[in-house]
Amino acid sequence: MSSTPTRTNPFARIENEGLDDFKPKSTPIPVSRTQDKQPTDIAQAITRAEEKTKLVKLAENEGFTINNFDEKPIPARIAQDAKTFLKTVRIHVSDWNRFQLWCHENGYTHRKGFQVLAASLPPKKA
Amino acid sequence: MPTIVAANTKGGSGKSTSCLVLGTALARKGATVRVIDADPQGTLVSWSQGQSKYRDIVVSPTPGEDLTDLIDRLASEYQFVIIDVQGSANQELAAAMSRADLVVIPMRGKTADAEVATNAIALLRKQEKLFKRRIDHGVIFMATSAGVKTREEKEIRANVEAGSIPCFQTQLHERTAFSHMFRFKLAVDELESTDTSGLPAALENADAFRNEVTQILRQSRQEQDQEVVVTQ
Repeated sequence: MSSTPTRTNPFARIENEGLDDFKPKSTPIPVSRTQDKQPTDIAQAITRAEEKTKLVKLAENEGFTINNFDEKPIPARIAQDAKTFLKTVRIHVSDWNRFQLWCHENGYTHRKGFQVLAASLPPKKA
Repeated sequence: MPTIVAANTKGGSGKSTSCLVLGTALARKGATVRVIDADPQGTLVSWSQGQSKYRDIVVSPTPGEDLTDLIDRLASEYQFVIIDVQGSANQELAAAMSRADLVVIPMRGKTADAEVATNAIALLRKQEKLFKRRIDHGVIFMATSAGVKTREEKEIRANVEAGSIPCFQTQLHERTAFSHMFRFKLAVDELESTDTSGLPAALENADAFRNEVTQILRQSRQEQDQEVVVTQ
């Protein structure tokens, strides 16, 4: 055996071994999802938050600063044109996030976005 | 149970390939697996849009989602969770490492790769100190020649060993099958020998990697159990 910490050799017999001995971990339910918050849940949440802060600080100290999953808020757009007429309509937007992103990408306010969508609807048949 | 992270801050070192080879090899053996594609490049998400029977194993975090929460949730539902992060100095790597049972450091036998890989190892060692827990890790050499070892590769191996960094015995060789996984969006065992040469050797290579990973995890579990008995 070499003195270097070389990893173990995959023996042929392992090929026939199953993987049933690997079980999913039992993870406590996050505090926010529990119905009744117990003191232990809160303590656990505090520990997790502290751990996360330490982790971020350590990563930053080591130069690991990029955060790819940071939530980037989309700034609200204020309509500059005159207000449209008042009309109460019931509109169902099946995917609000997609609509919001589409408005953002096209530089529309939500009002303008609705107008563009409404204009693209096929005329109602008589 | 185990959470495995592929870590190297260098792009193109073979993180996605090693994650996919390992994930599909475990799934082929009947294990329940999830591979988190935490790389915004979305190589694995793109792969999962193909016709592979294993395509459901790939998941990706949504913007703003806490990666550690996602890992914890998946680890409580699946036997193996594998995480592929971007090849940059990003915080996802630190978050994934904090949950890792094993960190796989894919590295080509090139000096540039070896130099950058040390960043990931330094981060890992700092985490071990901070959280007072051992994180099993090992370098896996990627895209190596099955027959010939270059002088550069030999030197890098010697340096890795001199730095007391564990190395996997298995190497994922430069094989058409491993690049065809992405070309055809299939697992190695789903590729056709008419399109891809050297399939049996690639399958054997993938199985050897899976076996070595599971063996390390078993050993680590045994050692942890023994530590618990000793402290009791």
